[in-house]
Amino acid sequence: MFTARTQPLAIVFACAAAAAGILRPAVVQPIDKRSETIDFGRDIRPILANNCFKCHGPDDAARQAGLRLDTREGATAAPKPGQPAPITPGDPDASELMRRIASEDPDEKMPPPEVNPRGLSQDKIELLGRWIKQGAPWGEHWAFVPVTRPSEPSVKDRVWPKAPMDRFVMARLEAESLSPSIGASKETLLRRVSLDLIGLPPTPEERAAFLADESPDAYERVVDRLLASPRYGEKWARWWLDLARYADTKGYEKDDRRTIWPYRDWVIKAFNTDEPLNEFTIDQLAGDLRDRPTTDQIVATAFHRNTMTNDEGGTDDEEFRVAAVIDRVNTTMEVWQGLTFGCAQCHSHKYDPITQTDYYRLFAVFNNTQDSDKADESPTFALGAGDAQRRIEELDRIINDANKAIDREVAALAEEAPPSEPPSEEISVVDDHLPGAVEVYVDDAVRPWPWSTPLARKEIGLPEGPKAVSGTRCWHTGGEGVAQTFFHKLGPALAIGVGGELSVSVYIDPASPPKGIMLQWISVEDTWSHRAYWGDASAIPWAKEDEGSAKRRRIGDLPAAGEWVRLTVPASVVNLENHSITGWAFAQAGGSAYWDAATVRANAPQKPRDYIRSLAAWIEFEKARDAVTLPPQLRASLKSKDPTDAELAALRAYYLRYVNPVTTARVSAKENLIAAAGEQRRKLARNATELPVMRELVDDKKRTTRRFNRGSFLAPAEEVHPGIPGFLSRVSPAQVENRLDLARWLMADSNPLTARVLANRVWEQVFGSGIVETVEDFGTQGAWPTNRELLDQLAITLRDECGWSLKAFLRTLVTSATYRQSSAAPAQLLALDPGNRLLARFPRVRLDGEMIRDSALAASGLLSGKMFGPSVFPHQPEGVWQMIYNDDAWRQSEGEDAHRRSVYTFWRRTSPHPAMTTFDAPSREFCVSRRIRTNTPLQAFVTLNDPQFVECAESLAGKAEQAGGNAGSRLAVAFQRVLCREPTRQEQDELVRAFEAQRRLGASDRAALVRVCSIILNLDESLTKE
Amino acid sequence: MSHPQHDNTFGPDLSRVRSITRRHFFGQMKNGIGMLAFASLLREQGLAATPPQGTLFTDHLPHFAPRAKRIVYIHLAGSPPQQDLFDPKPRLTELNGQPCPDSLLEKERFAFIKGHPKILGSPYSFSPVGSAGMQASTLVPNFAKIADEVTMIRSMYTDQFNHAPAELFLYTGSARLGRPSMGSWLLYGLGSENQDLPGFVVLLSGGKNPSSGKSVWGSGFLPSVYSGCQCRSTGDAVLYTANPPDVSREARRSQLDSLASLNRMHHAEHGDPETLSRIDQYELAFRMQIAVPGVTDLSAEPRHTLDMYGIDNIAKPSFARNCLLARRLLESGVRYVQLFDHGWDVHGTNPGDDIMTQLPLKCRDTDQASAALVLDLKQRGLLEDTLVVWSGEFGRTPMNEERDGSKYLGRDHHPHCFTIWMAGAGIRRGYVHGETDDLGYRVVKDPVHIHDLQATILHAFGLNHEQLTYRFQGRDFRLTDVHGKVVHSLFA
Repeated sequence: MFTARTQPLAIVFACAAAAAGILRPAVVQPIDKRSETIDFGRDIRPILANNCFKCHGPDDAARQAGLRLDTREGATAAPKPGQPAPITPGDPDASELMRRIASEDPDEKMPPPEVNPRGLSQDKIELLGRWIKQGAPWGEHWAFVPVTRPSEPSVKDRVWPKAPMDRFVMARLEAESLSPSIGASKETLLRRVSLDLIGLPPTPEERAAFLADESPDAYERVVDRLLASPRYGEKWARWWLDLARYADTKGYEKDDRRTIWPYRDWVIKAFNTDEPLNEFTIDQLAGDLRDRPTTDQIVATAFHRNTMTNDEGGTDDEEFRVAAVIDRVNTTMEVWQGLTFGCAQCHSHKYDPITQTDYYRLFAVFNNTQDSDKADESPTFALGAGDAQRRIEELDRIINDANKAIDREVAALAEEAPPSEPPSEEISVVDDHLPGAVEVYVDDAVRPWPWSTPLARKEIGLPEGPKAVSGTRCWHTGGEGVAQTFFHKLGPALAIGVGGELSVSVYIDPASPPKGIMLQWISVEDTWSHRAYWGDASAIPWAKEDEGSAKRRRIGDLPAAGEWVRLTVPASVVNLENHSITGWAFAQAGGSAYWDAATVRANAPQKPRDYIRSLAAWIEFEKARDAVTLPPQLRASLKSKDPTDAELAALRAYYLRYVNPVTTARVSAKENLIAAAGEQRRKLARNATELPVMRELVDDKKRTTRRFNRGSFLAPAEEVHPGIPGFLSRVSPAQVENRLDLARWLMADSNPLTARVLANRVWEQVFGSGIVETVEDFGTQGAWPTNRELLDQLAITLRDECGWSLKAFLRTLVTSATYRQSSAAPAQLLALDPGNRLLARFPRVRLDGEMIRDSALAASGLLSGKMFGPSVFPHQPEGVWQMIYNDDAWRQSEGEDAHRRSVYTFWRRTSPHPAMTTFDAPSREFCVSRRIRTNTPLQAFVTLNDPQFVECAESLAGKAEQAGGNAGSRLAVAFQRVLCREPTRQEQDELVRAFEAQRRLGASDRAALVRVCSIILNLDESLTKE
Repeated sequence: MSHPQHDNTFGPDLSRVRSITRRHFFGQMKNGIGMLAFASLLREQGLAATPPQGTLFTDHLPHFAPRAKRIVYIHLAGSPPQQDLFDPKPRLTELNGQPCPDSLLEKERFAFIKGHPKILGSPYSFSPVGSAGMQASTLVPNFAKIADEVTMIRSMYTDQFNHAPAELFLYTGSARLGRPSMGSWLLYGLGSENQDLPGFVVLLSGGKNPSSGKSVWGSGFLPSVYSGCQCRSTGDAVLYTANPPDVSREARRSQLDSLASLNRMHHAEHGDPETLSRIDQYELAFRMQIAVPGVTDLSAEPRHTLDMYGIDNIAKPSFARNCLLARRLLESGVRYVQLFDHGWDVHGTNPGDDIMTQLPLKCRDTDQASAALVLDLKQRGLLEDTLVVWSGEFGRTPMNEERDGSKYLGRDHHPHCFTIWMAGAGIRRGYVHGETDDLGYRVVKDPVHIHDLQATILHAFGLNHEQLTYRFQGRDFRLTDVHGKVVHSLFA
């Protein structure tokens, strides 16, 4: 029977190893194989699902012959008049289904060979027959029915169970005529519970105190101490951060850094303060939508800003915005509902009753946040610098209001052609307006030109700066480090002939003079390789290697501060004679400067820039050059064969606001205000920590959600409104319009999945594998619960008795009798229940990578207790980070930051720390519910040779040496620090032998001690929770 | 166990995967987990341990007789311009500098080209090579030596036009992150043939990782034992393999003996087979410490071999050095060797990425060694069952990119056609497959999609791409997603 293939093969391979590669059958038949009465959900539905649902299941689009076998109505009715019903309850012989699965005729046989080439096994056919004979009872999938408190089973042994959950375990054991294992030793239990609750082994002092404490509640008090430890939040955050796919970079090709560690700190604090899981959930999914949200509640919403952002050139922001929303839907449903929703993005689910429309209902819930795959990660929330966030919001409002006012004004403006400029030797490039259609960059991002007037700057609270030397306004540049403001993509290019000159006026801010200033031009022929600078030669490093050439020419000292100075650069010295420029950059090293009246004495005939004179001409001009300076939306409108009225209005508004100099001047006061507010906002943001967060779009900006055909964002179909999946709304109805509604629905008592899924997740962390092993999939394709009543009991405990308190729930788990068992696995028990599904012993599991490193640091006395803050960089071999388009380097942290807990280690998605990934840490690109636990030689290399572990061995040896005594007693100290127990006589002898062997090989006392300490850190027991 | 829903052989039962993978990290058994799963299946069936004929079982591996036992995939990261190397287009030369036809621009999205681009004829001349009508440009003079060994596919096309998604698409079958790479699938299906070396090794040159980072050799949702192991040019070839400076091999041996002895004592107490497995893994690591430096030490290679590859300094990281390393790894039974050479993204924005300066440099660094690898494998009799693939992630445009008015010649990303070559393992010798149109813009004959290439590579290994599946998040995943057709005509 095929079902047996899922039997864990541990024993099989242990035998195989002994018999040099020959497989032998296990001697004892595993318990779970014994057949019981037929349960539709467990025994029948999977057969139908795997063999029939692809063509006869919930997906309308894929259904064949009008027949569906996923509902009893469908299975017992004639698919078409006159045809036999697939199933006649009580009568297998009259059931078409039975005839077809047994048929030898290839045209009739079901399932067809492409679905299952072997056909159904005889066992399965018999099973189906028996089930039909019993009346073909149907049942809702177990996980989709409401959780009810199971009645406590009666057990013979009334002494062993300590908590209600123990009775469920005991009942199952008694049914199999098994008894639980003896209790673990005090030492084992102390190490186990320390690792489970705080992720660290006990200190020698904690061990001594516990061993000395003979009071009956000694253990319970240890549990309470551990739950109150700040280390507790750090340990449990690791678990949650895998689900939240938390990382310190944005992912995709560029994988730049992102500042989102305040979210990690929030998770740690939320666990430490034991925020109930329902509040914890609502904060993360919808903290921003709560009534008057606190800062913490806003920070919590970064949960769903852990989605990836694609900064690669040429990518479509909308495509990756949609990808982020899809990830939010999938992650939410996986984390809280244990449902694999991803399939339904493209088509209705083949096995579970999830339709494609259900998918887009949830998509609609998440589709109205402001983020849109922008490189600046907006919207963000400023933390740290006083009331920065409030002031930033104020400035945003000023900018927003000014933009709206400009929109209104421009809409009311008539188009007005500027007077044609008389030909002039001195051509104005930038004065009160920009030279036509260009793209503007300020501090490496597309931003409005930084216009400056004393009035606007004063209104925003900035230093007023000088009056313009020409016209009504100048522009201001400044900031930290080397920064530049430039425009480019000017069309047509400005031709410069022999004897040409380029000039601009500058006003160096006396309060904050830059170290140097630089002008750069981009020419059609040569890109940005024409530079002239003033001041300190080392201030601005660009093109250092070309010093003294036209690519980088020093013109003079920094101009005098506090007055307007005219700078003039002959075209010849920057190699611009007989070149045409399309852009001009104003750069500086630190400080602050004002600029005005950029002009060119061209000495060459110019192509006219007539397009600025009319909307129609401008549109033609832009079309001809693919609208290279326009924002994507406008570019699409421009290229559209049939633009809408709204699109035309937007194009017109853009032209009047930015291109036509006459109308530009009408709104200049507000543009000046926007520029000043933008500068102030950047200044505030620089001094604060800006965290990406969730924010809802305002009503008039809300997006319409459409179903995507085959899941492609380029193929939108009918509109879909927010809501919850139909099949769940039958059990747990709710009106869900937004994220807040959704979060509340997830945590509602009527939701059949959440309590089971979360209880199972926590259980898995403590007991090694879930009661439903597929913790991420509670659907019909997931694993069947090994003890359904136990799971329901735990769900009730978590939700009702503990009121969603994780600490209370964990206390219940770790004080149970089930938890306190020994993990020894006698051969008989191992053979009977290799996967430990019955829990007749405590499971022995390998620690995760973080715990292995943290435990080694702790045992060797190196671990820093410092909490929170930006991520740190412990030792990592050279050359692990080698990224394209990104010169970011791993600079090892100094001092205690090199020894912080692993939860604080910097996590780059394209290259997480190798010592962690070797121990199966995921990339954190997507939500990961379960880490697989592998056992490989690369792991041996990490714990033996990684300099971090070598350092731990050295430090551990230091601790051992301090203890004094002979080699044996010193090694016993080291052993005990790591394993929380004394070595046995035999073990201690072996440690001493190892020490002496190293001495014989020429190692000093100290070096030999270090090497034996390394052995101790590498013991299977050291890497395992016993 | 009573979970009939896990009918799929490779279900998500972790304890099973664990027990298999730890024993098969380097394929201690002759065959991979497919074979093991199959063997255990037979046992459960009460059948003799000889595979039945035909395809009674869909999931025994390999599915049919393999032609390839191992593969080396040479990836020119950034993507070389096919028009300047292997797919000559005289028409482009005629039209050089003229605006390209409008029909090429309709409904197109380019990564960087704006406005109306101009045709760019190749500045390099071509001559016939081999006997099958292949042509190669002056940039790749050594290709003539292997022209009659290879199949050249001029009709490759892909769905993706940015590097990271296109590389992910090529290696994982999906443009998004998270799926297993081709090498992981092969290892998962077939295991490895060397006990002491990783089964899937990655070698990088050109100074940078590929755009998509390590995901192109990651194991995605497959267990991490199947991920590619990066063999580095500097520092430890495999991370952390070197002992701490003062620990000699004897000292380590002694450490491991004590460690094993202590672990066995503990096992006697607890009886967990995982402990014994860990002892094995430490022993494996110990052997690997010899095997890895051994296979990566080129000092024993004779001068004439180094000359053949064009290696003047064996210590200096280079593509040529990686080619020779690849041969040594393949010879030692490594299943999958992946080479990435960075620096082929010839947009023409400056001399560092243009067709006149950068492209000849890249060709000089790779042409000789690529040919040498094929010839070396041949003379050692390894080419018969070693598949060699040479490709970028997409093609390049027939138009000059001229980004921001750049005067350097360059070509933008182009998904609609590109040229690759393959050799060995039953691939036809001296054969050109597919054709592109006059302008080299689209495929006009025998198109080969990325998923087809993947299906064909798996086929060479005796694997049916529709049957090599893994159940994850409720779905059976495969390398070729729901697409892919084996291109049988590529095989002799």
